[in-house]
Amino acid sequence: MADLALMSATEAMAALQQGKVSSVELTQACLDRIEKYNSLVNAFIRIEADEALATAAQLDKERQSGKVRSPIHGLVLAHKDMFDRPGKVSTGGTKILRDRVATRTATVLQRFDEAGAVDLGGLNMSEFAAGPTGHNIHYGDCCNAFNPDYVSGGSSSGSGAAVAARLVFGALGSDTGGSIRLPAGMNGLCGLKATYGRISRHGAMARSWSLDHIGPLGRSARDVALMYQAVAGEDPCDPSTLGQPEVGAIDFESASIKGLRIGVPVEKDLETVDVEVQQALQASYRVLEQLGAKLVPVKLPDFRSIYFLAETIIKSEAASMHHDWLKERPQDYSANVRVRIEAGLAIPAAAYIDALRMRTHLTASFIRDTMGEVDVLLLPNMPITVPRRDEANPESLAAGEKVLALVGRITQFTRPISFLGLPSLTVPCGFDQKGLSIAFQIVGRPFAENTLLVAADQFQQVTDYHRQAPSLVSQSS
Amino acid sequence: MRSDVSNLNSLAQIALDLHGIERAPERVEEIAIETKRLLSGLSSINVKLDYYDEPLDYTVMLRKEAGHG
Repeated sequence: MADLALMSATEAMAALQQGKVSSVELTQACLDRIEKYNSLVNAFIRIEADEALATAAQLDKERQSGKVRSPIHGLVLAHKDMFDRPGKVSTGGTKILRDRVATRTATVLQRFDEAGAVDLGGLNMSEFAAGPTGHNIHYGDCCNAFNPDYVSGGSSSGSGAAVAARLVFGALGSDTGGSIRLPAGMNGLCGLKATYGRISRHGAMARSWSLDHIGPLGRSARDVALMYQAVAGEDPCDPSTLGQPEVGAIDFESASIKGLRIGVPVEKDLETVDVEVQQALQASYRVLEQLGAKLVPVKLPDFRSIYFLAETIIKSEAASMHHDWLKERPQDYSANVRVRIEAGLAIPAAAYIDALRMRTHLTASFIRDTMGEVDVLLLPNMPITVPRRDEANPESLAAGEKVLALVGRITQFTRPISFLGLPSLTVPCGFDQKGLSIAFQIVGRPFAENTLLVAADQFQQVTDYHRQAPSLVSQSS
Repeated sequence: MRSDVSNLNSLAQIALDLHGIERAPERVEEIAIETKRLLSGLSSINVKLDYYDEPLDYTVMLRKEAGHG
């Protein structure tokens, strides 16, 4: 029998609807692969096998009786280990939260439960969602599914590695400066950071409440859309979500990007981007043009300044959340996370307030000026190819300014977009000479997630980068 | 870089003291260096805010830009 877990989420849902497979079979296929391959990537912190199988059996029974809760009824997922579920521990990738038992259900988990998704457990992540590489001294480093010597990306490291390694059909991550898009891009996946306020954060561990976004990682734009539509929308428990436009359905079959105006950065704005990444971007431009899109050169604003503003907000809010733990449990932090959060204690209040005010101003001008003549913007996901784990280790003796500079490079194009709060979808668009994934991100206007999903789907109808399973884990069982 | 953060060392030490956090001098200096890097970056930003004409609420602005609300 073919390995059921090698199907995409979209294919798995079609097979479920046609009665070709059951949710129990899909769950067991994922568990079999976790048993076989998780040690290669270290994607899971917690596996809830018995509960997942029981949920799947219940969902199969419902389907047999004619009750289908949603388009993801029976789909097998797992999520970054930072979402509350009563009676369960979500570690946040930390030692500090290792024993904290939740008493509430995160809205995103509740929506997945109601939609009929199976939850296989908690996925590895960077400590307190701080760090874009996937290193973690408490639960072990998460590794790139295409080559374990390379970083998985972070902070939603396990989400990227687990979905890429076909251990699960999709996953939620969170993104404050690129933490959904980076592991997605580094593992050949799609990852959606929706508009700020589109998806509820209630019951999620906070990194920086002004910049935190939650969103799905999947093997294609269609897979991501399935999960996104199940969790997006207003939630009275997260006021940032109130008053948002309708999420809306997407008809992928009749959609087109003919005439879509895609902004592409002028040459000077890409001069720090590695050659291999530039070549993949150029090839993607040609594909999109062949699909009928119109490319429009766009001058980017000063991303470096926006980067510093984002960092000011993240550090200030993290210091506010952590000062009691920094005082009472300093030994329970990794050295690099501790010093980075402590630095937030010394940021003047005026700098934080100005950064928040400038966010409104800069986002409005970005929409009106930078995106004034375009519908979407296509940017590199990352200006470099995927780094090795040893060269990016923040806890190594050689760490310090060198690793700090590398982290800055990794998040060069993602952190500014998190600051601006605009929707952004990462799409794989090539492989480097070492066989690791290269990706672009498509950035949209506020709440235009569906436009991004359609553009990515059109791209994926004529390319196959998203179909390339890592060779380490691509064999059938 | 280490030689020109003495003033920020004091700021870092005061911030830690205010929160009752004890740190070795070399760690205080690391925090000072990190703070200097960030504040130096911010000092290059030249955006003039008009405090009465700017939209006050970020999420309201996002919805308005989407033509909603």
